[in-house]
Order: sequence, then C-alpha cells, then structure tokens
Amino acid sequence: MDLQLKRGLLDACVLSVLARGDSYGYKMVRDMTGRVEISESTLYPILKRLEAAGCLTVYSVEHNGRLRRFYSITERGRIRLNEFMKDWQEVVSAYNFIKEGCENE
Amino acid sequence: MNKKDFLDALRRELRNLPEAEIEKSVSYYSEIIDDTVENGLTEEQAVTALGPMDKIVGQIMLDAPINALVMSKINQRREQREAVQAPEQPQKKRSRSVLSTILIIIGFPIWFPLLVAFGAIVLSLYVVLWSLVICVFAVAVSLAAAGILLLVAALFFPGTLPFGIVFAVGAALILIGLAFLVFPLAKLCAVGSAKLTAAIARGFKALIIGGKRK
Repeated sequence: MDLQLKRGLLDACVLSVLARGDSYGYKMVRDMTGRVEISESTLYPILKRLEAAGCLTVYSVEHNGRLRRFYSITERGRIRLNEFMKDWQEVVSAYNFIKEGCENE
Repeated sequence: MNKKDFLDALRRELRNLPEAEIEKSVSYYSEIIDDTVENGLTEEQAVTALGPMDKIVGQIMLDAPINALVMSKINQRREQREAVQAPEQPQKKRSRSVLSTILIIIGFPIWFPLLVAFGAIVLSLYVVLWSLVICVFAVAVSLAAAGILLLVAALFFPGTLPFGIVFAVGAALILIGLAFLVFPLAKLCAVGSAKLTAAIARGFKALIIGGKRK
C-alpha cells in the first residue's frame, strides 16, 4: 500500500483505539491484530509521532513491580480523528468512482 | 535471544541517538516483552515475535534527527572497514587512522568551504520556497488592504477620489473579493511547502538508512 496513505491510516487507527479508552502498547497491538495489520515495531514510531504532535499524552502506572506506560488521547487527537473521518468521505467517493470505471471495462 | 540480550543489542544499534531516545525505545520494548511473557510466552518467544532487529531499528531511525543518522552510518562504515582490516594488519590500522586524522585537519580548507556551501544551498532552497509562500500571503494581504482603504475612502472621503463613488465602491469590492480568493491559495501553498519540507527530510533520512532496509 502507498506509504503515505498507510501512515495516515495507522495514525487514525491508533487514535481510535485510544478514543475507546486509555491503553498501553501491548494491549493496543492485541486489540488491533486481526483487523489492522500492525506490529509492536510499527506502533512505536506512530506513538512517538502522535505524542510529538500533541495528539496523545503518556503516563506511567505501576504494574507487577514495573512501570507500564499508558497513552491517553487529547482534545487535539480527537480533532485529528474527526478530520480523518471527514477526509475519508472524499476517499470513499473517489473509490466508488474508480470502481465504476473498472466495472465498465 | 533473551530479553537482556535483545535490549543490549537494541542499545548497541541505537548508540548514536540521544540518550533520552535510547532509554525511551528500550523501555518501550522492555515493557512489550514483559507483557508478552505475562501472557504466557517465554522471553525467547517474545523476542522472536518482535521480528528482525534491523526492521525495529529502521522504524526508530526513520523518526530520529538527521545528524544522529549520519553519525550512525559513519560509525557503521568504519566498523565494517575495521572488521575487514583487523585480522591481517592490526598495527597498520592505527597509523592509518592517525594519517586520516592528519588528512582531515590538513584538508580543512577544502572540506569546510564545501560543507558550508552545501549547507548554504539547502538553506537557500528553503528560503526560496518560503519566500514564495510569503509572497502569495503578501498579495492576499495587500489586496485586502487596498480594497478596504478604497472602500473607506469612497464612503467617508469621496471628494479625494479622482473617480465616482460607485466606481470606487465597485473596485474596492472586487479587490476584497480577490483577496478572499487568494487567501486560501496562500494557505494551500504554506501547507504544501510544509509537507514538501517534511517529505524531503524523510526521503533524506531513508537515503541515509538506505541499503540495509531495501
């Protein structure tokens, strides 16, 4: 898949996971596998990027004698997610247009 | 490979990044491994599940500052070269590194201006790009200003104008309308060049990480 498109998609997927509630790395990947193709190593730069963009915040919680980093979506993250949904309408309508062209061939 | 070996290897691969960056990456992967183990896998299985090390490092590097990437590439090259040379001629290697240090110092008048020139070219490209953006903004702002001024003049000081009020108001409205048309264009230009800047930086980084990931 086009790299730029995939990056945008994965960013939105991660934000939508967090929109359902705060979560940590391992659980986020677990929640997405089967529906979205993502691994721990691809998730890491996405989290970093979203944190740098102010779309999520990080806090630590103690768990079994170690720290677990939880990620929480910010207001800006929710705005980004809404923008994605709006943009996606355009993609869907373009997709339908392309599909019609393919079917007429 | 167990957790400690993996994290040590990761630390080694990332050693040219800022310390905070290394710690962040290591603690992220440490947490993932701990969570996987808690879920019933062994440490070895958890590490294997993470996939190949060069993919993990590549993902981290792609978001790292450019100078760190250059450093890591240079070190990588040097280590490779030294690994090849080391077995045959251990004492010659040292004299060569002394020689290359001397060459670097003597060559300063040559490579330093080249470096400065390269930096200046990159900088001037950015300046050109952004001055174009500023130009378009300036056009929008001056159209709006001229329109508003003309409108004010037409409504409050009609005597100062060399032409009729109706003509002046019409011209003013056209100017303001043009400003409204140009402003979104200027915004588009700004967003476009910001994206272009980011894309160029990413492409440059991918080039430096290069060969290994292809």
